Amino acid sequence: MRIGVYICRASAETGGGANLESVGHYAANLPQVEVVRSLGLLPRLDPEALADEIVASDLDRIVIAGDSPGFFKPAFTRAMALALRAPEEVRLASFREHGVSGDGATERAKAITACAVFGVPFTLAARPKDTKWTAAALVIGGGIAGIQAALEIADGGKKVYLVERTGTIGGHMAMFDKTFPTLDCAACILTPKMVAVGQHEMIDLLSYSEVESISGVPGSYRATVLRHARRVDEDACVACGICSDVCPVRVPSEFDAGIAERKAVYIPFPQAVPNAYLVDEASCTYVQTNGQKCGACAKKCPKECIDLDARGDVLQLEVGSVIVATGYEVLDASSLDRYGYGVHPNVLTALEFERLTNASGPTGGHIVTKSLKHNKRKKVDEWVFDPEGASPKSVAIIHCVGSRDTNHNAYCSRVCCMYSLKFAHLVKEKLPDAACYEFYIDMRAFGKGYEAFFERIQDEGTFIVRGRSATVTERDGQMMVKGEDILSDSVVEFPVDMVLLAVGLVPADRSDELARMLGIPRDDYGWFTEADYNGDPTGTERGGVFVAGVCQGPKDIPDTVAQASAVAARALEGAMTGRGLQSLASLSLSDIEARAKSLVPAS
Amino acid sequence: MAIRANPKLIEELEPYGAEDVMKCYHCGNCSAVCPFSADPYVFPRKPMRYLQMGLEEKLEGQLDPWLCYYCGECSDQCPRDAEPGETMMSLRRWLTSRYDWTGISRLFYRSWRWELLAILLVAVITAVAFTLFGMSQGSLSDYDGPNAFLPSSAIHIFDWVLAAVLLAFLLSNAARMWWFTMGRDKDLPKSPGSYISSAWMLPAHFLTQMRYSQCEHKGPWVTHLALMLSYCVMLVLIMFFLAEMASGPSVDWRVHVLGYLATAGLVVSSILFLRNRMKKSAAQYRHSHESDWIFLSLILAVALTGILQHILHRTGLDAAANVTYIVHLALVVPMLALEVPFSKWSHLAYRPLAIYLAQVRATALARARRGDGKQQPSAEQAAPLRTA
Amino acid sequence: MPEPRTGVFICNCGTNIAKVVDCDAVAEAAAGMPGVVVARSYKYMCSNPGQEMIAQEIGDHDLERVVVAACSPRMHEPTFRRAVETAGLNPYLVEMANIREQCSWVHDDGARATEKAEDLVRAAVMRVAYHEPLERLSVDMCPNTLVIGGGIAGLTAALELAGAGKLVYLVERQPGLGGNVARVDLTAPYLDSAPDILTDRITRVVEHPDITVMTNSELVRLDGFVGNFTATLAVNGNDGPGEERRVDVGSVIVCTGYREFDASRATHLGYGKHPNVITSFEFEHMLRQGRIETKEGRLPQYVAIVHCVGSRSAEFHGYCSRVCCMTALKYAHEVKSALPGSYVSDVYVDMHAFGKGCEDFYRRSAEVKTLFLMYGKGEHPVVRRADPGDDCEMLITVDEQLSGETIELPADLIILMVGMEPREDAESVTRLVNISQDKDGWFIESHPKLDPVATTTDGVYIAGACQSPKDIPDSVAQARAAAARILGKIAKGKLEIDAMFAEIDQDRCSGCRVCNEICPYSAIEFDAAEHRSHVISALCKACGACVATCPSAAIKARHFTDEQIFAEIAGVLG
Repeated sequence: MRIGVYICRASAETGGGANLESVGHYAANLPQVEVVRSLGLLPRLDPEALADEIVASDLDRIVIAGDSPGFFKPAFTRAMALALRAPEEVRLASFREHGVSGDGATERAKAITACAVFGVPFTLAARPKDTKWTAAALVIGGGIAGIQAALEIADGGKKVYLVERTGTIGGHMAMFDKTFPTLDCAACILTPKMVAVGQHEMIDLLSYSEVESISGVPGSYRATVLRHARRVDEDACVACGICSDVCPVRVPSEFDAGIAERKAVYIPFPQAVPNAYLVDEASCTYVQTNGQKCGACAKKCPKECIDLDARGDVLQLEVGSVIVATGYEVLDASSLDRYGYGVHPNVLTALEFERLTNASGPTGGHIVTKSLKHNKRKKVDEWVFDPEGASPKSVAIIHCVGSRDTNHNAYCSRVCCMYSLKFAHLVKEKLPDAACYEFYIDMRAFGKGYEAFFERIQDEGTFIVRGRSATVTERDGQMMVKGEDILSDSVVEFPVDMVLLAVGLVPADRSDELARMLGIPRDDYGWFTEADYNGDPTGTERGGVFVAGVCQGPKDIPDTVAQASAVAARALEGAMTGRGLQSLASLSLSDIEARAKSLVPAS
Repeated sequence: MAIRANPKLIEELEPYGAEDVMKCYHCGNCSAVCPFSADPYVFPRKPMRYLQMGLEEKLEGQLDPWLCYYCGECSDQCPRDAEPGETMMSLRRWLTSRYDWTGISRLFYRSWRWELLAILLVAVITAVAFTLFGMSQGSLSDYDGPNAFLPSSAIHIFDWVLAAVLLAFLLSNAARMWWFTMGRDKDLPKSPGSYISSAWMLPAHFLTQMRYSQCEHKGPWVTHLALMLSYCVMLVLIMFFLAEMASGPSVDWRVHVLGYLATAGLVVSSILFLRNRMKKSAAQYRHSHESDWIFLSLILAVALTGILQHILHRTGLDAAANVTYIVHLALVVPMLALEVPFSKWSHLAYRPLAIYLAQVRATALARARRGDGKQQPSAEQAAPLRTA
Repeated sequence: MPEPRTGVFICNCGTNIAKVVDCDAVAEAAAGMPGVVVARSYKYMCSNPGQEMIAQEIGDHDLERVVVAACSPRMHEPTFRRAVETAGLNPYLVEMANIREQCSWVHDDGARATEKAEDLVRAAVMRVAYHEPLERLSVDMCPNTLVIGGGIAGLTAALELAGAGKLVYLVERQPGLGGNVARVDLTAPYLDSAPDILTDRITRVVEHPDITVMTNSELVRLDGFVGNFTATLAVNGNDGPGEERRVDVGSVIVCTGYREFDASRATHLGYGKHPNVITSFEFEHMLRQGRIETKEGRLPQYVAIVHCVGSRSAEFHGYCSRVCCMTALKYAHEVKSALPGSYVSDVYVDMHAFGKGCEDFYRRSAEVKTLFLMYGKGEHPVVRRADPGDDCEMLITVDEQLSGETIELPADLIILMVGMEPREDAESVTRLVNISQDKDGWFIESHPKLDPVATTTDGVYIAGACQSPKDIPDSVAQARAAAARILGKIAKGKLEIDAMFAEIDQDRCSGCRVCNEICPYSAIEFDAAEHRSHVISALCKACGACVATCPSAAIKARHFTDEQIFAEIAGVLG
């Protein structure tokens, strides 16, 4: 067989840092390789010309090597057909897709090219050897993904350490009111799982803690977990709330997305797990003054379980698998000045509205506009939500805020269309007379039952405007939303009382640190990179380290849950058999070459 | 009536600068941020759509591109880098070439080499012709007086002839513009009245470029206005007061103060524009078509040679002044003869005309709508009207 | 009637219940009901403190029965059973009154809603008095698994389970493995090689000692219950006389995938009428052959791609098929690559480029100058033959939404993005493994959000496109999720089975077998020797059908005895 290797690149941005030159030299020395040609970046290929080349050098297999070489495959396949060669003999050596990046990039690129030359799938030839596995698993992040993964593993009778940065598990899902498209109340379906985690004998829930470092090899990782001082005895606390009543400090509540206040000693929300209060040292007067002032809560606590001088401690864990489920944050809406977030009081982000419309939120679920109230302590007037406040007569929902936009996040955040439709439903349900407008670009209702939900929203009388609104301004006290209504071919500008920004999702902060700690790559936008987009969407470069949920890329709850269960499969395999696969990097170029050779189908 | 899409048209437009239009995914942001976009002229998205689909006749009939001043807001905010502003600019170039029946404009816009060649050709001919003419009847050492090398009286006649020719071109092209945008549109109700009632807009917009001032950043408008006013002043001076300007050893300030201001205006503004384009300081300067460079350089060169010959003459170096004069003419003539009817200069004429016609059209449509009792959807109703 | 010491606990569910029902009033009323020694109302009964309160009260008042008035038992009955169990009470001695879904959520007249809540609580109080302590059964878990379908999902699930050293039987109807992915050349958005993905998996499956692959084979019968199924398979049935084979498995994963929509049903697109209107799968074949050309063998100058064929439409399928948009964008790239001189246009409704890397891919296909035309949902682009003078074969008439114009689009080759639909044999599969289909025919998961791979039948799981359209990564994730669920069960070894099931009084049974037919879960066996029927308790879902039909009143449903039900009715009627 005579083989031609063509090296090219379909993406300007990455390139993965492989030395294409030396890959070329390497390829030239592989058996049966007759021609090695470099086509450079984004080449314009002419199949006829290629066909002539193929005939000229009498090739009967083509290998296209580089980042996303698939972009050039059809040209070569047609060229082969024109040259009357077997069209299926065009093989891809996909660098970027098989994790060519950082150090070892060139070696990896060579291995991938070798496999393609031998006509063996890289994923088949490059299977790491297996190694002994510690049964216990570490789950980082206590959102729905982390909860699901932990429960799957623990229900299999295997040990799980669930590390959560904040005072409670539940993540963003706990903040939501309803969930699309079925509209069940998020808390109602989530809390049973949270309680189950709290009660599970196989789960060690380490809330208010962070993974400080991870060392070791796949199958036996050693994790150092920093347990922040909760300053309230988790087991003794009965969540009576007396401490909170006496606490004089008021700061914005993270759980209420900042639209309500909490105390310095607080419980994120009533169903929090663990169901115990905690002291936020950043705002606690006692802690900030090194015990000079306050300390009221400790004095008042009937169970005497508050120790304001408590120190955090460090925990060492031995685990086999590490599951990353760190989720996301929403885009900071003030980075887009044209929507006037932070300027006009009634421009809200999605999360703020979730809390506003939530029965357990500051207004008891009444959708109202902010009212100007005098804050006696700060002696200033400020816009706040008051359950008695006026309800909006018209609400505009703006899609793709910071998403699908090369000036912000070029990617689609996948959930905004559906939660925006859900918002429209909630507005219509609670304020039937209010006008509700959706400004969208493409209505991405792709999931099971989503399209039907979209139709339902239209029937409920929400105005669906094709065209992403451009500006929110204020004209003598009245908010005005302006945008092009493309389908009726006009620029519309009309008054609204409330604007909801469907802000996109961005990677959780410090996920760069985590990536470095775990040695797993991230994509151009900061999401963790999976081992293989199609074949292994939850694995990573590093053996025994898995990703689940939004931290791998935006996705909705069902897809997140599916991924979370999927990673549990790998963790359970390790735990049950005591063995698991090492990192891909553990294989040397010659290992992969040899394995590929042995797999060459006998022709 | 179905319109045939022509996927190939985009290739025709690319040489005019429409390289990114296919990236547009129609979020409508540009039309909403544009200070000029309002019913019934919603742009830049709509014209971009026509262009993507290659609806040639629709595009020819568009006044919208002329209502755009390329303030750049749309391009800055475009989520797909589809450069709406530049697309409108390229449409203006393309329309110019469509209005021009000679085909010269098309040639120039599609190949800067041809434009440059033509300019050189005209320049050489002009230079030779005037040199021979000068030799034939005057002496190189005399700038004015009885045997001046290039007597202003003669040049004056030449000016008028040239002006007449150019005007002829310009008017015929303007007529075609009217035909494309108004004349051949059968659905457009006839309303001769509004032609008269809106007539004032022509001179007003020509002289003030007032719409341009609606852009968020006023800088470009001021520079643009300076350039174009200086240009007009200079034109008037040359057409009517050439003698006073050129001749006599004594400087008549009443005549010259305007001249000095105008030339200063030309030099400063053209340098500013060139500088902005080099630095790509804002969206509207990021993409420069060859014709932009040629036009600005010509203006600058004309102004500088004009100043130079003036100085030389006033300092008594008549021979040098005459040589410079030849060079000056060799630049002025191609600039006028080629830029005015066929290239960038024609914006100056088409824009006010488009604004005027747009007004006429809008009034006509509005009257018609009132006629058959249909209300134009007010902004508040627009969306409900459709979705309800 | 018996009056055991009963505690009543009323949940406010935040404001979900309290905003309509006066919970304190209900508590007061409850306090006066027969046997009730304590009645309390609380913000969130399901929360830890709520549950601890219940445990506390059980201890303090040594309660014998507990009533929780809160949400639907489907939601929290397990929670409260666990709660009373921790306090040493038999979990079946707790009864829930649903005062949320059945009261606060459906009424707005507070006073009368409160009355109704009181009635519901009284009913629960009187019913619970007759409850008996029941013991859950525990059965063995067979570690083998049957995977139905050898597509990407089935292959993945099999590999995961075998990877943990468990036996897998992989049954595939077709002669070969790979399913629909085997018909694809490249995958969006990174244009990976689909054949490579499959070769990798198939090789590993075939070589794996713990996986038994049976092609040309199908499941004909499934007996038994979770952890203890017996599957009857027709092996190599398609060619020659199929030999029957029985295998014991603990779990079943259904990965039967989808079939493509029949494009000829969308008549306006002229599939079958115009030779150069083809389906996406036919185009994939062209790509693999390297011959993108018209039936007449000419190179197409204009290639048009039409989205949502059979999807998002009132007359065919209402749902979105989820993968077609990205596949269409892939075709745009592929055509431009194979035929550099051609013009590609893409007629779509909404561009669903939602996945990782997909929006970038969409932008790139715009950068290679694909012309996108948008038509309205529920409208028809119409294909007709072009006129002699035209430089194209066909014309597509589209009411183009983004311009408001009616456009005629030139085309020489038209690719129809046919949607996904349930396989023709989906219904027979549901009957075999006792799961159900939604209105579109996709298999129903046990919870759309939190349990996407389990079904209403314990031990039977669904993964991949048979549950609803999805792309390869999402199918792979689901397949692994199902494997995880099964591995978890296997790891534990034993299974707990709910104590609620029907019992047949063998002395009273006449062996008439009426119940055998009536049982929707095939949970009743007939013992020919004894001439008696008896219930396979692990399969029984305590629906009560048999109880109602038994002519000799020999069947009793545990936890649904006549006394209990009559007491409940009496309670409601006050």
